[in-house]
Amino acid sequence: MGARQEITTRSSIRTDHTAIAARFACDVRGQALIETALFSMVLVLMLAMAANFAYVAYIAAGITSASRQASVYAAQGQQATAGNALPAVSAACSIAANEVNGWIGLSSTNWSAYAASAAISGSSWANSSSCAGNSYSNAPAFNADPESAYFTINAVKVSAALNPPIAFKLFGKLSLTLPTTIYGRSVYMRQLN
Amino acid sequence: MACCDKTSLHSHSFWKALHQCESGQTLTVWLTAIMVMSSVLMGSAYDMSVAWVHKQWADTAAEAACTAGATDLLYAANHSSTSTPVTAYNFLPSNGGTVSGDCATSSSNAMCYYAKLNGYASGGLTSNTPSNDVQWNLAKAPANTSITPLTLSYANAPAPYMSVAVTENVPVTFMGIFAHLLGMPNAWNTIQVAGHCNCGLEGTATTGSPQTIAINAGIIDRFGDFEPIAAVTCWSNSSCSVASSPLTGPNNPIPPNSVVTVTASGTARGQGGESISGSVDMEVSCNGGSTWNSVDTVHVNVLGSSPLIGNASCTVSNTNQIELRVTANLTLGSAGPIFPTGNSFSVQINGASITIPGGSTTSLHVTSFQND
Repeated sequence: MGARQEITTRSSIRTDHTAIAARFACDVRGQALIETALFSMVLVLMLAMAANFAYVAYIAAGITSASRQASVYAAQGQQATAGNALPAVSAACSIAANEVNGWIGLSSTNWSAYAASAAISGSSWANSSSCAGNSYSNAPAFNADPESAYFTINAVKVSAALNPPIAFKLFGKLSLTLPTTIYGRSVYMRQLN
Repeated sequence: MACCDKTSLHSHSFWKALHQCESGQTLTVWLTAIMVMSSVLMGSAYDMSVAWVHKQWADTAAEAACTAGATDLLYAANHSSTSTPVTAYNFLPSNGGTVSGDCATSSSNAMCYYAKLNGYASGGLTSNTPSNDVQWNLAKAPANTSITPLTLSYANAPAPYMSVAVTENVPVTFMGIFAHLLGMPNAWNTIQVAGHCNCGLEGTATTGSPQTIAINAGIIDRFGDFEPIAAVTCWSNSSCSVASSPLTGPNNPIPPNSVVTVTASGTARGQGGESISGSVDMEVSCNGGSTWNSVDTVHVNVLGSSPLIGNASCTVSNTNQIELRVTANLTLGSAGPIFPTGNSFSVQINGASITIPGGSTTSLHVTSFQND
């Protein structure tokens, strides 16, 4: 009797949509798991995006530092005593290369460094050196020193192709990875010949 | 509790039931709070990362601007000058004091030019709007260092230290959104970052004593040989000249565009020692290499056999040697004792000397003391 009545009750519940809905609404088993899973997906996505952006910011700051240090060396290097010649642009280029070398995630094929210097009263770069041969190697735009009869200008440009380290796709289709971007930074400094 | 009140559930819709269901609300609230907090933190981290990269750019621009200005200081110090070589870009005070400036109001100087080249055109800061500003000042001592300040010893020498500050209002994305959501539409549109650089001259600032070299006694030529210059006598009504071989100065290297003082002396007399009247122009020229780049004329009135003494100055462009030439041209005058017709006359350059200024400060160089 009890068993038969239970079967009857279950049957009536199956046909009662409100009751079904109520059951799902009331059944709290696994609710926390589902909610956490849904939120976790969004959180993981945000964390991955944050990590990718942090990587881009890290490389951008590093490239700025490399071009800056190389440019300072080109303009002031070996000037501890009077009369010493300024270093060749190839040496400045090497400084930039040394700064970039060893960075995690930057292989030798996806970055470049380019150093150039002008001559007195020059209208274009008189000396240039590219010390990382890839397609991103190009000279920084030329700008003459405003007192070019007495001073010269030098520039160092460091460029890199930034590939975010974490690649992921939503449902295997929609790529949410930041696209590969070319980031370059030119630093200009004056030198006294 | 009401969640399992099936009596009420049978008489209400699903959503009403769900609404009444309180089980799991705490977890939902917590997860939502975590999501919001994570968004705020990550958004702020994004904005601060962007600001940090801009800070690196500002530091770089400040150092480039500072060292550019310091090279002007170096040039002035090496030439005992109170001005930059190109007047249009002069920013040095003529009285040797300190001075400051803002590139938003005056940009005709090396600091503003190099700040602009490195991305900071300095249009002036505008609150809550992406903008930037570059300020600079000359100082007699470097800021935030304990080194003994250098003093340039020539008259009205500029202060040898400089500092540049590059300030930028960096646009922010997420922090601005949060501010809008919190009812502050005019807050956090930008975040301000600044780059600083202190730089200046470093090295020996002693002023050497001027040195005079008499080239009639002899010179040291470009090969290091001693080469005497004999007095030259002209026996015509034209001119005579004596030129030195390239002279290596004692203050080597001689600062470019140094003004050297030349003294030339000689005599003019007629044959047999008669006095003559007229004038002698002694042209003194010098150069630092292959081109005679400066000529100064000494005009000496001649009466009798008095020694001719003239002083002149010329500017040399070379940094390590000077070549000197003295030419005398006699123009006979009508007054005074006239020597017998047919007699010739002579103009003799007995010698000349050159004084090289001792203000050379060639051991100075530009350095950056602090960048942050």
